[in-house]
Amino acid sequence: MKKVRVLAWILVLAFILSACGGSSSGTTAAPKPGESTEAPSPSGEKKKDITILMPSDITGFDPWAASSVYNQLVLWQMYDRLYELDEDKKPSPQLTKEAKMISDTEWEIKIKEEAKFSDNTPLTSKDVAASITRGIESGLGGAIFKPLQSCEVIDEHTVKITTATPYPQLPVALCQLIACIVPADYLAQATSSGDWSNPIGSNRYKFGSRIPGTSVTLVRNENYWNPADAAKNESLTYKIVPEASTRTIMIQTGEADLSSEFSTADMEIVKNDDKVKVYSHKSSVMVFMPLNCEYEPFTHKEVRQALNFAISRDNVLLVNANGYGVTNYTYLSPTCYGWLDNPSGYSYNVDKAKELLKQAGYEGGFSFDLYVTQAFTAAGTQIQSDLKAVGITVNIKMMESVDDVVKLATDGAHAMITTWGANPEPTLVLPRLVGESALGAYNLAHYVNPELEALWAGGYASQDVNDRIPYYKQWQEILCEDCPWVPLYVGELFCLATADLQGVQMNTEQIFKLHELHY
Amino acid sequence: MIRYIGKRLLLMLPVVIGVIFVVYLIMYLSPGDATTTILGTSWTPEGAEAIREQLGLNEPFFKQFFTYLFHFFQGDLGTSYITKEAVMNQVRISFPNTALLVLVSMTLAVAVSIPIGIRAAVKPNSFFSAFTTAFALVGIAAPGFWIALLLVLLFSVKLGWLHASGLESWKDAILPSIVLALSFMASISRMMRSSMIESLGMDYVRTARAKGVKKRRVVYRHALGNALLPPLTVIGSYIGEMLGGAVICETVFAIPGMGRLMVNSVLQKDTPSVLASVSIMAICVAIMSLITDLAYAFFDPRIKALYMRGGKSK
Repeated sequence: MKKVRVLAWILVLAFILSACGGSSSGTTAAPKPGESTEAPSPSGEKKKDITILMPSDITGFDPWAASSVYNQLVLWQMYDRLYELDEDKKPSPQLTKEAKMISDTEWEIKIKEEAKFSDNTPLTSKDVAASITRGIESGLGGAIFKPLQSCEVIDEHTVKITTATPYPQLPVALCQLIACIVPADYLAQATSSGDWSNPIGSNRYKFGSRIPGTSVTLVRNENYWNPADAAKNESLTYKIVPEASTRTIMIQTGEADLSSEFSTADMEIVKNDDKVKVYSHKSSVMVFMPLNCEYEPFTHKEVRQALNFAISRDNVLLVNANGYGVTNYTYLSPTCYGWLDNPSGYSYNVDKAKELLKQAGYEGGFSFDLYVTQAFTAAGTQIQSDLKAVGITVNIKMMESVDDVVKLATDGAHAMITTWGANPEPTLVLPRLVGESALGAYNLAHYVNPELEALWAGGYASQDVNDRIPYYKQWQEILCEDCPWVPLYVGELFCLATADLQGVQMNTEQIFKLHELHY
Repeated sequence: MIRYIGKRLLLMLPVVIGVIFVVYLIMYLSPGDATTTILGTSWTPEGAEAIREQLGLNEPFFKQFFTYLFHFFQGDLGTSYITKEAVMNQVRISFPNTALLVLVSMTLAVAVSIPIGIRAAVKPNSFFSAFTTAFALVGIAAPGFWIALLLVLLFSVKLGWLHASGLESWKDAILPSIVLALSFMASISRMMRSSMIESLGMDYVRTARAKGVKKRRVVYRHALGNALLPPLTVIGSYIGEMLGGAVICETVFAIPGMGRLMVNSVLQKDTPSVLASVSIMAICVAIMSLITDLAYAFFDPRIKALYMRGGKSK
C-alpha cells in the first residue's frame, strides 16, 4: 500500500513537471478556455470582437484629464481631432477638409461637412471651437498648446485659430488628446457636472461599457460619417492586465487577441509558438541620462563629455532592452526631422574619458547619485560599472515612478535615467527639455545656453519643414558639444497578437489604427 | 461578552485614525504629487499649480488631514485625483474581489492544512509526515508570483482548463486562491503538526489512552482542542498578510482588487484612493483580530471565563 502511494505521488509530480516543461512542440495545442475567443469559431464564423490588453487602466473619458498612452489608445477611437498622427507620428487631416494661413498667426480651418457624432447630430464649427477653447483655457495642454490664443467660429464649418506667435507646428498640437472634439452641449454639461460616464464622439467607435480597473468596451459606431472607412470589427474590449507574462500567456491561450505592449524577456517563449505573432516598429522614445549642470563636477563641460565617452551605449542597450533598438548619440530620436547620427563623434573610449577628466581636474574621480526606476536598474548598473573604470563612483538610487523626475530634478538630483517620446518636430522637443523656459519643469539638466536660446526662434521661422531642418541640426551640434545629457538609446516597440489577427499596425509610439483589426 | 466586543470595536477607532494619519503623512512627505500623472509630459509649473489649487493640495497639512477625516467618518472617501470618480465606487468594485479571494484562500488553507497537520502528527515518522514537511518548506520558500506563473502555464497554456486572468466566474478564483493559500497552508500545517505532537505528549492524553479511550477520540476529542490554539493565533494574523499577498495575486491574475488599487494609487500619488484602501484593509485586519480572539474563547473555556468577567483575571 505504501509503495503504491509513493508511486502515485511520483506520477503526480512527473505529470506536473512534464506539463510545465518548455518543449516548443507542447505549445502548439494552446486550447482556449472560453468559447467566445476562438479566432474562427467552430461554426466557421469569424470573430468580430477584438480583445486588447493594456498594462494600465484609463483615467476616464475626459480628453482633458490625462494624456497617458492608454487614454490615447482608447479615447482616440471614440473622438476625432482636426488632425491625427500617422505611422511616423506626423500630422495628417482627420476632420480637417482644408487649412490655410491667413496671416503668420491665424489659421482658417474648414471641417468636413459630413462629420457627425455617434448620436447622429452634425459636428459643426461650434463643437470644434468649444473643444479647442477648453483646451486653451484649461492650461493643461502644456508647451504644445501654449502658443494657441483663441478658436473662433467663422461659419458652420469653418473655424479660425489664432496663435500668439507664428506656429508652424499647429497641426501637431491639434493631434493631441486635448484637441479631441466633443459636442459643445455635452462638453458644457460634462465639464460642470464632472460626469463623463456616457461620452459622445464622432470617430469609428462609441462607448460600450466600463468596469474600472478591469475593462473598457467600445462598440462600432454605426453612424460613422465615413462608412467607406468604418471599423472592420464590431467591438474593441480593452482588458487591464498589469503583469507582462500574464499578457503573453493570454495571447497564447487566445483569451485575448492583441497585447499593446510586449516584453522582450518573453521573446524566447513565443518564438516557437505558431499561434502568436510578434510585431515590432521603430520607436520615438529616447532613453537618456540628464546631468545636473549645477552640480559641481557636472558644471565642467569636460566632465560631461567624459561621461559620454566612458559609457558603453551598446552594453546599456543590451542589458536593458536585450539589444532591441539603436544606440543614440544625439538629442533627438531618429524619427525626428533633422536627426543627426553622431555629430560630435562620441564612442566608448575609456582613455579619452580619463583624459577629459584630467583636463577638468577630476582625474581622481568623484561620486554622484543616479536615480533610476525599476525599468532602468540594469542600465544603471551597467553605467555604474562603466564609470567605475574611470574612477567615478555612482550611487544608484531608486525612484518609484518616472513621474517623479521633475520633483527630483527640482530638488537637485545629480543625474537620472529617463525617457521622452520625441515628437517628429524638434521644436516641440528640445526647448521643452533643454530650454530656459523649461527650468523647473522638464529641463532636468538645469541647462541654459544663451546661444541656443537665441536659435530656438529658427524652429518657427518657416512653414516649410525643410527650411527649419538646418536649425534642428545646429541645435543638436551645440548640444552634443555641450552635452547636458548622456543620450543612451532609442528602443524598439513590440506588440503581440494572435497569428490570425489581421490589420495589426504600430506607429513610433504604440499600436494604432485599431479599426483595421479583424480576423 | 457583548461589552468586550463593544470595547474592542471602540478601540478600532484610534487604530484607524492612526493609520490614516501615518499614511497621509507619508503621502504628504513623499516626492512628487498627482500633478505629474495628470499632466504627464504636458507638466509645467503653472499647470501643476492650477491643479494643486483645484485639488486643495496647497492647504496646510493638518487642514487637509482633518478635512479628510471629517468626511471619512461620514462615509465619504473622497474623489480620486486621477480618475475624478468617487473613491467609494472604486472600493465597491475592488473590495468584493479581494474579500472573495482572501475568504476562499483562507478557507482552503485551513481546510487542507489542519487535517494534514493532524495526520502528520499522528504518524510522525511516516512518509506522509516527511512529505508534508517538505511541502511546507517548498510552500514557504517558493515565491507566490513564480507559483502563480507555473500554475497558469500548466492549467491555462498546457491544459486549457482555466483562464489565465480575471475573476468573472467561480472557476477564475481557483488558481489565485491556490496561489494565495499555498504558503499559508504550509505554515499552518507545520504549526498544526508540531502543536498536535506536543498535545499528544501531554499527561492528560496519556491518561486518556491509559483509560482505554479509542485513538480517534483521543486525537479529535482530547488533543485537538488545545492543539488548535497556536494555529488559530496565526490564522488571525495571516489575514493581514493575505491582504498583502493579494497584491501579487491580483497583479499576476489581473484581478481588480484592493491590493492593485492600493499599489496603482501609491504610484500615481492618488492620496484619497491610497487612504481608502489602506484604512479599509486596517479595519479588516482589526475585525479579523477580534474574531480570532472570540474564537479563542470558543476553544478555551479559560479565555471565555475571562471575557465573562469583563476582562479581569482573578
